[in-house]
Amino acid sequence: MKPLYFLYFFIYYGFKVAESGLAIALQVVRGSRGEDGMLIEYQSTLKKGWRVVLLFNLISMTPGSMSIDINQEGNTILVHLLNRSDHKDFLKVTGKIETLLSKAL
Amino acid sequence: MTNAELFLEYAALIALYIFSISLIFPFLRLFRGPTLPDRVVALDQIGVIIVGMMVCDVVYTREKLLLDVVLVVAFILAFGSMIIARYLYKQNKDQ
Amino acid sequence: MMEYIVGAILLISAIVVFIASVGIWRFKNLYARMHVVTKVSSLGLLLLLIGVNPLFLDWFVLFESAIVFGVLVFLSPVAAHVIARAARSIGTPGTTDEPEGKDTSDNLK
Repeated sequence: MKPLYFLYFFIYYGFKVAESGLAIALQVVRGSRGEDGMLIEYQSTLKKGWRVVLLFNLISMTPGSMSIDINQEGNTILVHLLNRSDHKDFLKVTGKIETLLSKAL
Repeated sequence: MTNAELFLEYAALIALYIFSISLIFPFLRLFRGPTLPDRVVALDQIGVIIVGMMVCDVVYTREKLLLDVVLVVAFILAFGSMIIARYLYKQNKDQ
Repeated sequence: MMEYIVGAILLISAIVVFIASVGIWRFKNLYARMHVVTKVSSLGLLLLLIGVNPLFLDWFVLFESAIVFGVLVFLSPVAAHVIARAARSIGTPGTTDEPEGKDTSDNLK
């Protein structure tokens, strides 16, 4: 049960790495200077433990967002977005990852 | 030597040249960087480029024991930046 | 036939790492540079470690490249988090903005 999910997360992680790397590489090639970033907060509903760490790493691997800080209770994550227009997309993708994490583990 | 092996050898050499050229920009950032965290990020990128050059060497010489060197460099790269960040925290606490 | 695929993967990953190096020179903000180092370099390393495998077709090479990928790619977001938090705590210029959108920013430092 557990090693199968571990393998599944390994492959999913590799897929996310490829997607976000291609997105940022295209942005570098187009000549962006990376100046319109913004900081937001994300309220997570997961409990403390391995799920929060996995959510933290997967937020860093979605395209255009990077997790910076986490508070003491472990339910508020400070996220930096590279483009301001990605806000709605980031909320949708992260909600999907969170439901998948709470269902799988 | 067949045609395919010759292509692989030249591909590894050209990839090695591209890695060497791309080593210029992190060194410029390392010298120019306004603050200490910028320099830490540039050092991280230099470590990644060194790992890539090592893998190119593995493909060029077809010696699979050189992957152990890649493993050691990867461990040093992963934990070195954390140690420098720890030093930054301690410097903040002292003053 | 396998040699052509390996050579093409090597060239593509070298170009990806070159793009990452150009991005670290061109971007203006510390957080934007961390985006480049965390994601684009991880993509380049993933391509390199995939490209080594069909050349040898060995369990030892597969296991060791999986370990290298795990160490570098699972620990690079953690390292970026540690550096960003240290830079935010010592007050590096350009990284100390307050978060937008929510007004519950009192318990986060």
